[in-house]
Formats: sequence, C-alpha cells, structure tokens
Amino acid sequence: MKKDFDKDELDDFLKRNLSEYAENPPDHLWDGVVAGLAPAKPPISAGVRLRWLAGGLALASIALLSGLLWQRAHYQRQLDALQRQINRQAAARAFERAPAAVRPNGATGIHDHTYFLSDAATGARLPANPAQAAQADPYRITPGPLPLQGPAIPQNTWQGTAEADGSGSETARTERPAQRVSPCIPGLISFLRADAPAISPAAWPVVRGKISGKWSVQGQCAYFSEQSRVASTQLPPAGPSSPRIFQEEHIEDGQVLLTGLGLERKIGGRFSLQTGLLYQQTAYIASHQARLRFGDRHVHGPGGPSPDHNFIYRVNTPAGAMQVDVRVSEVDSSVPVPDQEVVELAITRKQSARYLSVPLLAKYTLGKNRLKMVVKAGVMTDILLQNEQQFTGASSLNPRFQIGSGAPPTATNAGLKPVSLSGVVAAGVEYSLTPRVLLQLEPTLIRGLTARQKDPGVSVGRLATGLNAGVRVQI
Amino acid sequence: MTESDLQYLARLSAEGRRDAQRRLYDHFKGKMFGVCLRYANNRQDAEDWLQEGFVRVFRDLHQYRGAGSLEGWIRRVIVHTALHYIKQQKRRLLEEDQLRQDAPLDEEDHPSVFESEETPKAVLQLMQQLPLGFRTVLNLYVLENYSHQQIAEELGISVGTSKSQLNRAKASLRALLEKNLVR
Repeated sequence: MKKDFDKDELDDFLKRNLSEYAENPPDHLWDGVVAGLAPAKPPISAGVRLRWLAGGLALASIALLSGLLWQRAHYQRQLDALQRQINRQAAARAFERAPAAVRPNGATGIHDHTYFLSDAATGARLPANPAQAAQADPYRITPGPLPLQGPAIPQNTWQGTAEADGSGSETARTERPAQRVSPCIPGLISFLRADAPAISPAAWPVVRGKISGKWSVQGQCAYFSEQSRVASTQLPPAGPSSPRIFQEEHIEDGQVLLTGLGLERKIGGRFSLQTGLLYQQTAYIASHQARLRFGDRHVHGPGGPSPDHNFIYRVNTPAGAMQVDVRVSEVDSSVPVPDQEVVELAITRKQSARYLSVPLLAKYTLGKNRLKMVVKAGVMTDILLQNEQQFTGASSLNPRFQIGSGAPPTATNAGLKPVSLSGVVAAGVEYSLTPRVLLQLEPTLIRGLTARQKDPGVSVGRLATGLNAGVRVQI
Repeated sequence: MTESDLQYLARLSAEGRRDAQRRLYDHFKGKMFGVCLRYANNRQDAEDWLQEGFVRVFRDLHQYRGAGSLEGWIRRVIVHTALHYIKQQKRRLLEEDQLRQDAPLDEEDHPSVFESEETPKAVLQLMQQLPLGFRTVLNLYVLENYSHQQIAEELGISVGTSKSQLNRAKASLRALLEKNLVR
C-alpha cells in the first residue's frame, strides 16, 4: 500500500526527513579544504594593473613621439636641402636677369662675366656661370621650369654676384613676394617655373593645401589563403566499366597572390569607386589516395601478358572532376596477382591558374585624421589567362607494385571557364603619409560568386581570406 | 558541543588555527553535506560544493559577529556556495533537466528507493530525481524558508516562475513519493 500525500503534509514530511539530514562526507575532503585555505598567490591589485597600463601607455606614447620626431627631423632635413637648392637656383636666376646697366663700372656692351653665388650667412662663394652651358657645372642655371619641392626660400640668403672684366662686382637680390605653398614629399609634386614668384618656408607640420584629389592611383599587393569545398552535384556514372571516383566531397587549401594597379574616383562625401587591373595567381597543392583493386585495371587490347597496367579513376578537384590515368608495374611479374589485390596509390598534384582581375568596388572612408578606417565591397571579374595541372608525386602503397617508370600519371578534365565573378569585402585602415600619399592595409574576404570550373557535375565553393596592402597617390 | 564551545572554536578558526577549523569542520560536515546533497545532482558535485563551502566559511568567519547560531550562518554560506555553482551550471543543467522532464519516469530506470528503511536517504534520492529548477526552488522554499521574492532575486527569475516551479516540484515529488513510499 502506498502513502497518499495531501498538499500540507508534503512540506512537513520533507522538513521532518531532510532538514536535519546528515551524512558523513569522504575523509579526503578535509585535505581539499586545507589546500583551498593555503595562502594563494596574491592577486594583481588594481593599482598594479593601473601602473602596468600606465607604463604600457607611456612606452607606446614614447615610441609614437619618437617616430613623429624622427619623421619631422627627416622631413626637415629634406626640406632644408631642397630649400638650399631652391635658394641657389632662384638667386642665380634673378641674377641672370639683372639689368647690365647697373654695373658699377658703367661699362656697356657684351662682357665676359664670371658669376658667383655667395652665401650671405657664411660668405661661401660658388661659381655659377651661365655661359658655361656645356660644362658640367652643378651651379649652372638651367633655363625653363625648375623642379622645386616643398617650401622655401628665405630671401636674400643667397645672392648672385658677377664680376665683369675684373672691374668690380654687381649684385642682384631676390626680392620677390613670398607665397605659401603646399608641402610635399620630394620628387612627387610641385614644379615651379623659373620666373615664378619665390616661395617661403611652410611651417611644419604640414600645412594642408587644397588638393582636388578626386582621382587617385594605387599599387597593391595581396596574399590570400583560399579554401575550396568540392562536392559532386550528380551521381557518378554507374556500371562496372565506369572509373571509380575518389574524393567526391572534400576541402582543398590553396594560396592566392594578387597584385597590380588600381584607380579610384571620389564620388562625393565619404564614398569612392575603385577599379583596376590586377594579376592573380592561384595555386593548389593537394594529395589523394586511390584505393583500387587489381581487377580495376584497364584492359588493353589483345596482346601477351604484360607487367604494366593502367588504372583509370576519377577525383573531384576545384577545376572539376578529373580523370586520372596511372601506369603501374608489377615488381615481380613471375608471381600472379589476384584480382582482389589492393592497389593503393598516393598521388600529389598541383593546380595553378593565372587570371587578369578587374575589381569594381565601392569604398566608404571614415575619419578625417591621418589614420582613417575604410570599408570596401564589390565584385571582381576574373579573366582566365592560364590553367595548369601537373602531378608532382606518385607512389604505390602496395610494395608489389610501383609507378611505371617513364610514364607519369596523366589527367583530363573540363578545365576552367574563361570568366568568373567573385565578391569582395574588405575593412581596414588608410594612413596618410602626406596629404597625397596614403598607405593601405586591409583584411579582405573574397568569395566565389560564379563557378570557375566548366564541369557541371562538381560544385566548388570558394572562400579566400587575406591581407591587401597598397600605396595610393592622389592626383 | 555547546553553542559557546562552537563560538570559541569559531573565533580560533577565524584566527587561522587549523586544529580549531578541523574540529569545527568535523562537527558540521555531516549536516552540511546533507544540505549539499539536497541541491546537487550527484555526490561528486555535493562533495565539491561542501569543500568549497567550508573554504568560504573559514575565509569569511571573521565576518560572523555571533548574531544568530553559528550553524545557521554556516548553512547560509554552504547554500550560497551551492547556488553559486547551480547558477554557473544553469545552462548545462537546465538542458539535462529538459531531457529529464521530457522523458517519462520509468520504474525500471528508477527502482523503488524505499526498499531500505532509511527513509530520509530515500527521500533525498527521490529529490535528486527532480529537475534542477524544481529541486532548487523546493529546497529554498520548504527547507530554507526563503520567500518567493527572495528566491526570485537569488536565482534571477520572476516570482511567478518561482511559484510555478514550486508547485510543479511538489507535484512531481508527490507523484514520486506516492509511487515509491510504502507505508
């Protein structure tokens, strides 16, 4: 007979039986309690953490500041050198155009002059004779536009001096109005005509000039790790004569190298469009094992018994299903081989393809400082240039057989389509070295949108992840 | 051992005297292990919780000011330790519980626990067959005298959930008892 519980009885029953319930635990638990009470390693206090954090931040700040100071000093040295060069050229140019009538000796007519440039500060004197055009004189004045880079001329530092026929000297000073210009890095930007107004030094850091910058060109290089998921979409051909199929569904890893030039156009606000011409190289190195029976060998036409046998089977690859033909030789042909003997082959192959890729990407830029965040998305059209497949290794795992010498495995497949499409997504940073030159670093994801392989019996899902680095120059 | 003896042991234990701690542990270990067994799914968990609970007891003993009984204070620490682990394992245990709730109670899986005459132990075994949520609420409400509001705050559930868990726990336990308990 079983006991019936009403609603109130249950609480009392439980309290009666369980509220004072006791049961001795195992003895070893006390050791655990003692171990738990042992003084633990003191936890890192908030103060210590704060000090470490402050120290780290200080170190990072020092490193950043050092970098900035070095960059400034480096920049300044370049600017100083340019400035000296500009001064010399501008002073000489001004002197060249100085009116002969003011010569102190009052001489007229054509004279042979010896030209000098002298530094008012140091008194250094350098020959600068425009008449000696044919000579490799570093101080010769070159007519036409003078390449000037950067800010520049403290006026009246250099002055041109001509000594005519030993009858004294005459001096011309540069007395042209100063004009502030945008700074730049050497060799990239400004050209100043010889008769253009002189320029004065710009303050560092860079004074931002107005750069239209709607267009820019970029050089880029990217490396990706690509994964292709290969699977059959159709049942393999049935029947005893059909070749056996291996690796029907698997994943292959490859590498992708992408390099080339790009063109970018601002389309207003933070948005731009990017395109370009890129060279793309993909390489897959994969191995597979084909486990066949001796009876699977391909039977040749009539003829005497031969120790060489051909085995034909199929493997799915990112380039579609591939029919492989391997010639295998019996090591000892005097021993008959039963049809059930396992013939296991280990094959390594390399598949490489080259493409010409044309991306079309929309870009969104976030930030106004030197370091900006960028996000890109778009598509890339890949035009096949070359597709190559080769076997890099073949061996028999059954010692009774060996791969036929002089007859490497051969393979046939449908190949790759001439054009395919990929989707591209990237998010990264852009750092302005100068207002016109920017460095880019973008983790990028590329996913195949259309099939690359011609073979409809195989589906291939492509996904590549990698890093794209480049330099962009606004023009 | 009288309450004053226990208070004295508690004071020595709070000072770190290992011999006093051992005596205090030996005095309460049985009852506190019983508490852990009521909340735990299995013996192993109960042992772990008891061990961790006593570590907390001895570490926090200096906070015990003598208000109320020492046993009550230790019991609260042990219960809180158990609840701490229950909350940590909540997700996994609730998933297991779901499976247990979904599966019909099979007498072959759970043979009668009242074949022995140790009724409290048998009741404990039946309680351990309850899903974690039921068991926890039942323990807190019936045996620890928590209100539904306190249970809700402790377990991070609503008062309504606490009430419904309690009712379902009682119904389940009643069914188990009526099936297994021989008068």
